[in-house]
Amino acid sequence: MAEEATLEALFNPTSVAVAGAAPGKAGQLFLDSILASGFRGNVYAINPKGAEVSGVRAYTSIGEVPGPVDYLVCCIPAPAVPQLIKDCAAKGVKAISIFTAGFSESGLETGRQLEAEVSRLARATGVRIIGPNCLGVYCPRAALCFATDFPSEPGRVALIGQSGGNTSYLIRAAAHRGVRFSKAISYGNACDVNECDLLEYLAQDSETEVVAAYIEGVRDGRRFYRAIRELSKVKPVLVLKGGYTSVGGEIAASHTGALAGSANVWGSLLEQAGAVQAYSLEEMVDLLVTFALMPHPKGRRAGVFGGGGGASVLATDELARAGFAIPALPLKLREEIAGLFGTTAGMILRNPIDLSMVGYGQGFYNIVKRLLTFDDGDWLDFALVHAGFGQAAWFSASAFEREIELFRDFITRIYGEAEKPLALVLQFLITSWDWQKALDVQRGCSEAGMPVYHSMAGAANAIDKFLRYHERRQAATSQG
Amino acid sequence: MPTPLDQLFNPASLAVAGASPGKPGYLLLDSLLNARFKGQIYPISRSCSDVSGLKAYASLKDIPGTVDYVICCVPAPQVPQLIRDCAAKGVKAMTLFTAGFSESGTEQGKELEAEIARLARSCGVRLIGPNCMGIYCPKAGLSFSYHLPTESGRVGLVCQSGGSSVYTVQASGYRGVRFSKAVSYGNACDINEGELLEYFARDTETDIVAVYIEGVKDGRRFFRALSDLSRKKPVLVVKGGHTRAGAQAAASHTGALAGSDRLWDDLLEQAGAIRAHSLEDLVDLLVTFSLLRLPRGRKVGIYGSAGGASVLATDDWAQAGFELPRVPDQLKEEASALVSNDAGLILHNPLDFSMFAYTETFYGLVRSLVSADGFVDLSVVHMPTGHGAWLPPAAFEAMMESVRDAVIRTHREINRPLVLVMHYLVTEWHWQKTLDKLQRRCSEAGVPVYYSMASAANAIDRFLRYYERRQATAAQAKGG
Repeated sequence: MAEEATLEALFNPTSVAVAGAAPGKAGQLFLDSILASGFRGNVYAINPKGAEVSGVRAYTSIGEVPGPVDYLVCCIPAPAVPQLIKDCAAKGVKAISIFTAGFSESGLETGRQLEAEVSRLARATGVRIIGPNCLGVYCPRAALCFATDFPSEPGRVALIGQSGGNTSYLIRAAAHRGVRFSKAISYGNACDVNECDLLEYLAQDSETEVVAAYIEGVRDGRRFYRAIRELSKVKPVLVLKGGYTSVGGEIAASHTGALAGSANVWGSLLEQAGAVQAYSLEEMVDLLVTFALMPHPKGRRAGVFGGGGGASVLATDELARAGFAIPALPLKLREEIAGLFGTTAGMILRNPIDLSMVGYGQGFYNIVKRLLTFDDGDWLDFALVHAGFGQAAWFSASAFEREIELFRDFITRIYGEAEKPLALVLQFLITSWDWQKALDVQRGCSEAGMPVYHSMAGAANAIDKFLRYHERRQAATSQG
Repeated sequence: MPTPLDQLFNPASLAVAGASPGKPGYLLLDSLLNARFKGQIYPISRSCSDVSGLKAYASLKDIPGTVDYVICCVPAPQVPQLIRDCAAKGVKAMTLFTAGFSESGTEQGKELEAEIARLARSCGVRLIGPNCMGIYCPKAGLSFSYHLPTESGRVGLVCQSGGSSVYTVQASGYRGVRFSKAVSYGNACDINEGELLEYFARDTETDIVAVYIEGVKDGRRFFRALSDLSRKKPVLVVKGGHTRAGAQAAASHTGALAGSDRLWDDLLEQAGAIRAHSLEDLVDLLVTFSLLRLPRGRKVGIYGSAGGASVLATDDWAQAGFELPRVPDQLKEEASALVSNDAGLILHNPLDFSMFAYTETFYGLVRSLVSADGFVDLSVVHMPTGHGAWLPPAAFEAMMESVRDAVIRTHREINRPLVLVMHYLVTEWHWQKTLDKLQRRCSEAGVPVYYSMASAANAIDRFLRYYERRQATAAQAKGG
């Protein structure tokens, strides 16, 4: 299909140009990001003075560029954009992503008219346009990027985001917890390529297994519903709706010119279409970690192993509230573990299992390993290991450092050997030092593919939605 | 006449039983030395003649001077004899760190706990615990952890779990909250939650009381004490074990009978206490109640960057019952005059200055908005970190410095409610360090800092509701 072919060109350009790439301007930052990501094709800079930028020779117009250009990033002022589109059409450019703002989102008549013109030009010339007021495309396989710190390895998650900032946040935060992307598109005002084009494309895309969307408003509600419904049939779709309150909706209008609709309408529409809804960026990251990394637990029986009595009580509350069962530790196993210590004072041995008296060394490894394999692991469907950094009363920095290294090594070892879905909750982080240590542990775990969360509530909520997604699918399959 | 509990917080001398190196008593002793306890400290150790540079005694009766307070870390079976020795020595109060009592779920543990409760009553020694951390009182130099602030403040904490005590004091301490005293009271076999609440109602050093409770010993007394305390001071309560599964975990943590969730909701509401839903939520409430200047109403102004983050921020505040008034024209003009770039500047509330706006002009902008009469009741400076696409470390640091400068200077110069919300994205370590510096400096200057819009909005909503309710009650009393 022609539509898919042109969108395909977005993710596989052989040459890229940045218009408005002058030293110190936003265009230079785009250029730097593309250069830093190791884009293999030709990269051209365009600015009116032809001044060299970031070591790249610049041309004064797109017409001057010697070779063909597939994809152009536009960072020139709004009034000059229509002429640039015409020039691009003449040059044979297939797609443009327009970073430039000052269109319909400005709320001004001139801005709206300018956007309508851009959109007309796109249709007339056949050049596909992303934006305006967006960051464009991140596609690690093609080494196309709009930031210098995103992962260069591709993954199986696609993200579409109406806000550039929120899209960047989601990529960064999820990437640091082990999620990798097939492609991400920040699409802004959606004057040509819109959320429906992208969702329909991703339904076909064999590189994508999970789709996440941050959406402020849609152009064509009926088509959008259909696109989400069809996509949900083949892949999980996670949606965060920005502007779901009426006030938030007004702000969305001034942000991306979106007509945002009301919370009720959106909630029931997404629910019906089979999408999984997130209500904050943090929740979306938890969902991405879960859907991208966690194998599907067979049921709702959770094991909770880790440090701290109060933390165990609160963890149980969070899991129970999210609809999980916390099966009692089998008596035989309880006796076996108690036997290892002589005393059980200060420990909780019922599930949750409070191991704070054991520390995080070999003893911890042995017990968790035993808990996961007992009775062929038949008493549990998945397990969460939790560590509460800010609850430890006495560790000196150096003692904690050793403990943390041990913990990282043992937890990744257990994860490698475990046959049950297993996740880690690093919680109660307070100081910058806590965060640094948590980051070290998290990096080790995320690299090994283990889901990591920063609160028990976040983990419980995300895993609940993950299970509900699969329960619903099973119900639909057995009905059909 | 001093109330019986007063002496808990002001002992002239104390002994730590079970203080041999490597044992918990040794670590508690170190915490006391670290907190610079001003009176005499006597370690008791059978195996060592000195511990941490202090002369150690083989038994309590060998200590030459008087001993007011004993921290007990000897194994459970030895506790009854130690209590008798304490009575003989004239000790007034003991903290029993030792675990292995009713919380173990064994008949033996329950009997032992009943026995020590009887002993305490018959010989007049007051007991905290067992299975607890005891007392933190910075004024007296009493502490149970290395990591707690040494300065005093106006918040009291009554906490059934040791780890939760450490976390609550440390985490809210990190965000500028200071405590008059905190009591980790564990199984509550003698001194219980009711008596502690009664104490805090009278305590002139305490203005706000935080409570983490798993179950009550004496429901009637607790409810009366909570109602009475709530009439005098705001009381913030986390109920651990509010689900059935959580209650079972609580039983094995502190031997508590935990009650049902709905019952607790009603009970807290009736008593006039404020419910916190997690420890993190409790910390947000403590930051609010101890640092935020009382807003006169629910009009909020949000000043910060990133369109998408502003859309979500608006949803969070609207959801919590706040309104975002439009920016008056005159103020719009003033703000526009201060900002030089045109693209991305949204002159709605939230004010989006785009990422280039956190510069030296930021202070002027924030100051003019906060001081504008009749615009808002509460100002929120928004730092949506992780959204910025390109900033290199040095530029990021400079940007954070200008935010810090704007927040702290405005907070000092204008006596109006102002908070900082920063998203604590866990990614690169250099980012983390810079963010941490921003947070700590603002917290030290007395600015309430939150890590998400939702948590700020929800905490401030309950703060306002507390005062609305008090005003309504006062008006009723006047009218009646």
